Amino acid sequence: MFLEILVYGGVASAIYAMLAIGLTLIVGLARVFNMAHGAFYMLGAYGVFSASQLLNLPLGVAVGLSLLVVALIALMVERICLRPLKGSLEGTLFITLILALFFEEIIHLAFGPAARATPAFLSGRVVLGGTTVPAQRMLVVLVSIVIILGLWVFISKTKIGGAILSVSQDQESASLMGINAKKMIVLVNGIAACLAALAGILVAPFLSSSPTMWVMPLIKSFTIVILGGLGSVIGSIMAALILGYSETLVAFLISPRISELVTLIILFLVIVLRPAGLMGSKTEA
Amino acid sequence: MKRMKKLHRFPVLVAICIGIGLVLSGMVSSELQAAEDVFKIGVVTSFKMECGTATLKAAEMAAEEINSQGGILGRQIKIFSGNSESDPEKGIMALKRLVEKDKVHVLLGGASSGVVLAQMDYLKHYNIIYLAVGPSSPLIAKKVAQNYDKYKYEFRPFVNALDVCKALVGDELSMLVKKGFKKFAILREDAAWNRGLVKYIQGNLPKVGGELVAVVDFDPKTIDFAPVFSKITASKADVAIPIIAHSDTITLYKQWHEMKPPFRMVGINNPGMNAKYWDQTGGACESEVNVTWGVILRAKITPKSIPFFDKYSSKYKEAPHACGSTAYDAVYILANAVERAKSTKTEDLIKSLEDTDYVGSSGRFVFDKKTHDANFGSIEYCPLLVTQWQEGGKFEILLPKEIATSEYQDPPWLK
Repeated sequence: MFLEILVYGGVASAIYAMLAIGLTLIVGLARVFNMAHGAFYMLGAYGVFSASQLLNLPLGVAVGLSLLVVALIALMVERICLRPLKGSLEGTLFITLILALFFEEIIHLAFGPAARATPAFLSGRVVLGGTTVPAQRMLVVLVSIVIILGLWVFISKTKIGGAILSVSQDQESASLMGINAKKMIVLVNGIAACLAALAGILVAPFLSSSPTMWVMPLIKSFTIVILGGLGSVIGSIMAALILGYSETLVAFLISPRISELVTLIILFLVIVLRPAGLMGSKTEA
Repeated sequence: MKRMKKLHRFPVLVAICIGIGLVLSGMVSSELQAAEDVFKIGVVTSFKMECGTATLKAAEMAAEEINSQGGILGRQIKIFSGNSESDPEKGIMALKRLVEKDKVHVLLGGASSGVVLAQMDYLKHYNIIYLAVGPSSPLIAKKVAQNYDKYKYEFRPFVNALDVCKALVGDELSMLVKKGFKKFAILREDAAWNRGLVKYIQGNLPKVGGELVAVVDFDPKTIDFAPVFSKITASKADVAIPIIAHSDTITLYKQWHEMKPPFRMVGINNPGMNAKYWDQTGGACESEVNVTWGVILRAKITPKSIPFFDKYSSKYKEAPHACGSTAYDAVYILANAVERAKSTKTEDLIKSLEDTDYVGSSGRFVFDKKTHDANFGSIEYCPLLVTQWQEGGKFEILLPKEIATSEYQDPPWLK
């Protein structure tokens, strides 16, 4: 049981981390609460299903194509819907929520209400200390670790990463230093959408794809971003581990029926007790 | 001079007014005429569920057939639809719109028990009959039996979950016990319709030689079943009994197949009651055993079953859902009741429906006069089928033996 909790908690945390890091980057950089973030996760899952199962493209091509399409959609959303609102909290919240519902309806019309099954990228099972884990789930953990490490290197070691950090700390000062803040926001929107889509692509083989699959991941992503502290990547990773393992512990040790309550309880406690989150300062709240 | 001009205009204005009046009255009377010529059926169901979309498609197909044969008492059937979205409040709104705005004569549909139970309180007020297709809660029948005067408007040409339970324990699970699998664990989605079923299984499983070793509940929104499978594996059950109607079982079976836990899946899986399920799960439903009803596969339940299956499949490019064949039959049951009553008045129709004895595609429909439930569960009426998906995507009937096409097969990893 202990090993099962360790492995399955790790899988859940890895998915949550990929979803939340993109969201926290956008919140930190553009101060936008993008409610369409969960829809990018859904579009990634449906994209790989359509490309691999309906167009019969090789899996690698299907994954690449799905990421590309979602990134393009995210960039269009940024250009057409978000930029004109100039960071208005209510405006961006409202329009991205409408977009998420719009994407849900489009998917519902195109694919119907039933879940769609994407075949596993890796078949077979891995035995870890007596616990058998499907290889696809181990793939999620490995890919997430690689992607998160890669993102960390990109942000902390490259010039563009430095520019992103500067814009997230102070947009005006960054502009005075010659950094094009708009370009950085566009780039981060693209990265965030690709991370969400990749999470959707990786879970599609074992969680399936359905038109409402974006809702719970969105709620969980926001919980993680708030728990981790707005804009904090490290905070989001810590929060993803806390949420992933809390849910798994409750599901395995108490009952799977109440595991979803964990998210709501954590969200409530953070808002009441520590609104700035784990890594946020009090002034940020 | 000005005054003269005005006077000249007066008859012209009167003529225009009379003309408009005549046109309008003509329109109104022709509309009234049209309304008289049409028998309106309001399909109120959840179009977010496959049961709901199948209900509408099959009702439209039946209406087209009946219309091509002259309609009901010479009146053409027209189908209207309202989406309940599986939400009782939206279901009531949709019902009100169909009755008040579209002026439908009869309601058909339901899909979910929670919605139908809420809608039933409005039937007497609107004096309208409701043929419930999709909901299986025993509470629906109980309400009719306990307060007949208020709820007599509801008829269910669909299965009651208690009948499904009887088939589940008496036929499906006893078949497994006979094969040597004696330990069972219930895998139950937390929903209104199946709350009483656990008790029934607990009480009746020992009678067929089985033992209930665990009950694992899960939220219908669950998408990761690893903890659920872990609990069932820990209980050492030979067989898991899913009792599921609203959850995503495509994901459930994909994960079962992917994790290959040491138990079989033999139970009630409503979303799996369609011939597309093999493709929907990518073949992961192989070895799944289910209690089903209606025409979901090409089997001769009655002489009308295969013609219905073929026509529906050809028209909609998909095999019918169980709600499809029962909705199709429901429209014919209604037409049959109207023809016998020679009336469309609600009171006359209730009496006529209570006297129904109609052979449709899903079986022979006879309603219980106290509960208004159709008789499901025996080969003489509407049979319940125990089906299994087998290697290569073959959808086989295991029971009743009169129409069985194959024997039970274990999952490949347990053989």
